[in-house]
Amino acid sequence: MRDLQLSLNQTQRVRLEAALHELQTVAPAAAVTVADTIPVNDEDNILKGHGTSDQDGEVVATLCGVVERVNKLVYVRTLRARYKPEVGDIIVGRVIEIAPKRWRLEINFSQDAVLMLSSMNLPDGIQRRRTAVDELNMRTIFEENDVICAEVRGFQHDGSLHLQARSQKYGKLERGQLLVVPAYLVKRRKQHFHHLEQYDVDLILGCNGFIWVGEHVVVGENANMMENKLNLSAEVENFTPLETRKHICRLANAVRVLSALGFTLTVELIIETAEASVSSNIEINNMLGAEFYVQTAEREVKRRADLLRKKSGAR
Amino acid sequence: MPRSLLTGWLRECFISQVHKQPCHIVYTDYRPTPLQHYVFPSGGDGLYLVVDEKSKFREDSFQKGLNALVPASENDKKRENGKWQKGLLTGKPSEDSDIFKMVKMIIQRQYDPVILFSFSKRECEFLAMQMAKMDLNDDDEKANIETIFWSAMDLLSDDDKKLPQVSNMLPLLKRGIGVHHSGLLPILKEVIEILFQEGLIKCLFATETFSIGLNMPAKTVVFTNVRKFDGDRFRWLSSGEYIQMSGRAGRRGIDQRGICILMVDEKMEPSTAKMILKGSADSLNSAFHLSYNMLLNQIRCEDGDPEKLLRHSFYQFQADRVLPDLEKQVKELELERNSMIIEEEENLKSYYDLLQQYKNLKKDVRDIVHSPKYVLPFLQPGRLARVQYSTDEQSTFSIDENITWGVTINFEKVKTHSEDRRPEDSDYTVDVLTRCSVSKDKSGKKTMKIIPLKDRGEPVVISLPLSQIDGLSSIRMHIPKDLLPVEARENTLRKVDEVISRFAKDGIPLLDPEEDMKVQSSSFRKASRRIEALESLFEKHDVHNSPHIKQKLKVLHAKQELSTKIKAIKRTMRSSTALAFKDELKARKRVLRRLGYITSEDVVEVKGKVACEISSADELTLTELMFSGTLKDATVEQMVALLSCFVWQEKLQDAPKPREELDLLFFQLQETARRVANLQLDCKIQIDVESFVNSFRPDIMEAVYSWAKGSKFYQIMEMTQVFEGSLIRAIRRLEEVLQQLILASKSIGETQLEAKLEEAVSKIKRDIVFAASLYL
Repeated sequence: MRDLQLSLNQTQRVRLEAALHELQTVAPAAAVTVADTIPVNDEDNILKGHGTSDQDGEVVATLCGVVERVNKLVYVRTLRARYKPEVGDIIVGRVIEIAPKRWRLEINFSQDAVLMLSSMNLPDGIQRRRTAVDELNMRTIFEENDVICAEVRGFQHDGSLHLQARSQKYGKLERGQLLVVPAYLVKRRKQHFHHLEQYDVDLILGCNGFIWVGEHVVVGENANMMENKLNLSAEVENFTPLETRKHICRLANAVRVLSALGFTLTVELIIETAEASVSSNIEINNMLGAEFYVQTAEREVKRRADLLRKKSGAR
Repeated sequence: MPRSLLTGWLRECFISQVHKQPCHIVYTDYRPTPLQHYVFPSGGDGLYLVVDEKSKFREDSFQKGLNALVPASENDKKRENGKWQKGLLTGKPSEDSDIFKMVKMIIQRQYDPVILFSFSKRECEFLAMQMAKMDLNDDDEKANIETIFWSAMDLLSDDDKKLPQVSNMLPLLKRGIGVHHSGLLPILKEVIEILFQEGLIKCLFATETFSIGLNMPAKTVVFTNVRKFDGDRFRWLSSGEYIQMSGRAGRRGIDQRGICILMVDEKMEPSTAKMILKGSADSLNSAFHLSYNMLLNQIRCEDGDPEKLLRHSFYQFQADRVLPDLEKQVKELELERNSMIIEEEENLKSYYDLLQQYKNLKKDVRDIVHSPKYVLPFLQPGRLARVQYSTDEQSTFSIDENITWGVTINFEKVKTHSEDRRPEDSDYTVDVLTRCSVSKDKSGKKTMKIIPLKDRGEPVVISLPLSQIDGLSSIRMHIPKDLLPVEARENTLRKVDEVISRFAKDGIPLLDPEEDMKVQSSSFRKASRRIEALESLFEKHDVHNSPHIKQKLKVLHAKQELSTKIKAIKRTMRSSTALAFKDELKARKRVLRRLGYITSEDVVEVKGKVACEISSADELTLTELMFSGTLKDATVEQMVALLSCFVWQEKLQDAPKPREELDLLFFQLQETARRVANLQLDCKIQIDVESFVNSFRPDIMEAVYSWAKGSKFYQIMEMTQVFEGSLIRAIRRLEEVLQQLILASKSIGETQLEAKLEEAVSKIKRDIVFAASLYL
């Protein structure tokens, strides 16, 4: 957790510090720091994975984190790692350049990702070979600074990272907010696309820490939308109902609060935080105020305590 | 419908359904170059045409061919003349062999080029060696062959050029004779393919893989055998196999017709030959199966849904295609059922139900009364017994049953269950004298069937189970001591007739279950009361006295049976609609969770990421072996030798035993495989644990170990009995496995193991094993 840029009064500071101290008492076991020796009980055949090194026959940590073991494999799972792409990751990125037959995307990684023209669904939805006309029309599909969601395909032999967007759920993201949070706050889950029906909002938790909160898009109507786009005026095309816009802002602020406090972002926690602000009659702009931060921290303490109690009861 | 049209049409439907777009196919439904099919009897000296260009089977010609078969003893004598040796070492062939005469005749008649199919690699080479004295090429062709051959062989090192396969093959090739099977060096196989395409090889001995894929037509195709071993048993060729291989015959645009010759060395039924020669192609059935690698790669993509993939597979498509036919059947049966119009159907159905109840209750009562506990004291000789007999009608539709009378002679306990008795029957049988019709079947066995007393038949003492006794009379009569004479039996039955006549008015008195037999069962009393109630209901029922009641009941019965059949088909449709492989999918996911490859939320874990990279070997066993650290401790050569067990598929009888250190590693592999197999068994995967463990064979561990140590290829061939091509293919696949393990090591960050694997690749990827293909 970074230092909060908040104007806390005395009472709020005491409450916040108490809550954070409570959270830290549930510390993870077997945490190591750089150059710590990892005890392996003189076992043979130890496989040394990520974050470990061999030093005079001893296993030494090269990263700060938690020691994990799988059979004979020992590795260090960092708590605040930079994003490292893996096949199948859902990511959100921003277009920074259009090159021949490809777009380059910024995805919060040490290098830019590449989305090939042949790796995405054409707007008309028909599966066919790409032509020179398609290349000329690339800017009408995505242009610089567009926000796109895609899937990691893998590293190519030349070391470049390739994406793919072969389903209609991928593609350009419009009428919403893009939030940037540390990537380690987003855990790999089975589902990263979420349609929050009660808010009519799409929430995409990108594995790279880019989070999109936007108006819901009905998948499958893209073909019709292409036709309608020509008929709609510019004003009508960009219209989003006020109620939906409020929901987007409230959810986005919930993400901001949670990430500032350093809490893991799950769709359940985001919704719970947004609902808490509604039930507390807090205005959307006041969600970023000091009082709501303290309330959120205190609620998280209670939630984890309940979780712990359930586990103890189950055991 | 021609088979090519059917196959293409089936694929068209599948592609259209999955992609939601129309798909058009282009096809021809005839064979441009017609085929003639001949038979060559073993030991004979001529061909017999059995199927002409118009696809007519000529049975007389076929029989003539078989009659020309030389007796077996002479055949065995001829076989001894053939000499077989490993590889292509020069032996002393016999000019009298069938294959020599066959090829000679083919060349004389200008039926060349010819492909002779065998069903094993060694037989291929054996047959080719019998051509040692035949020369089919002129000097120009010989020079061409030599040029092409050495141009290709220059890719090899000097040591490899000295391999027996290489040096022995050239003299054969120069005479226009070739060999093609998967045991050849890949580069040698490719040279032979090129020479055949150029027409420089006139006579090619090949295994059946030559019939698939390659565009290598010939004028004539010869089957050196009609039977093959398919891994399970020795069997006749299937018509599909015959079609595939005979398809090589007849070059479009060159030959007027193609010629197929079947070499026969034993008597065949004409129907068997017809089935082979004129049968249809094999069905194109889906061979889709789930693998863990595929499953894991689906799971780790959010869009990837294993169930969705299964639903779009060709296998599911074929299961779905059966549905319209089943629906049509249901419709037809329902139409037939509805067309059966019966007057007063509701009333009739209630009467039918009453009838069923009545029969069931009657049977219950009889079972109670006739249990051995009550009935045995009354089975005295001479007691009149009422017995059931069956008629051609399957069932009756009346409260009256088929019964007749007989005389009890004796009873005995059944000691063992004989074949014609069901286990549910009583433990006692009763000998009853009554009238039977006696018939004898072909084997001379007598079949006796009970018939009414007044019908024409013989008086016979027949053994009956207690369940067939319908009732016992209170009357006993005197019977003669000796019943062997027919006359005595006839007289006794005549007396039975007199007794029946005497009591015709009121019926023969029966033993009362409660008063006479002392039956104390409460369920008997309950059932008896119900029977009385039902009998009164029958009298009052509307349709009891209506005309044609039996006929109507028969129709109703048929209608009920149709309903039952409809239900069965609908059940089949429901199970067909259900997702194929659904249970297997669930079971395999369970295996993956138990081993820690995926979480309970179906997120791929560290182990799962490793298994995602492995597709050239058994991914579970290899991943478990890797995570157990076995690969870490072994040297590079040992590791490579151990991994060879994952890629070697053939069976070797006299493989050398691995050295002690390799044997130890192999034991660890077997233990890991056994653990993986047992876990799959626990999770309901159908797997044979022992055959799974035995599928990892140590046959080439020594060879691969030496190759990794730096031995020459010819040195390795001296220490092992495998075919050169098989070993090369195994090592190439081994390199694939190593490359996949490198990616797997990278994904877990184990840099030392990764470096070791890279070293292993560089040690085995050298010389003849990885010589470049001529086609590149």
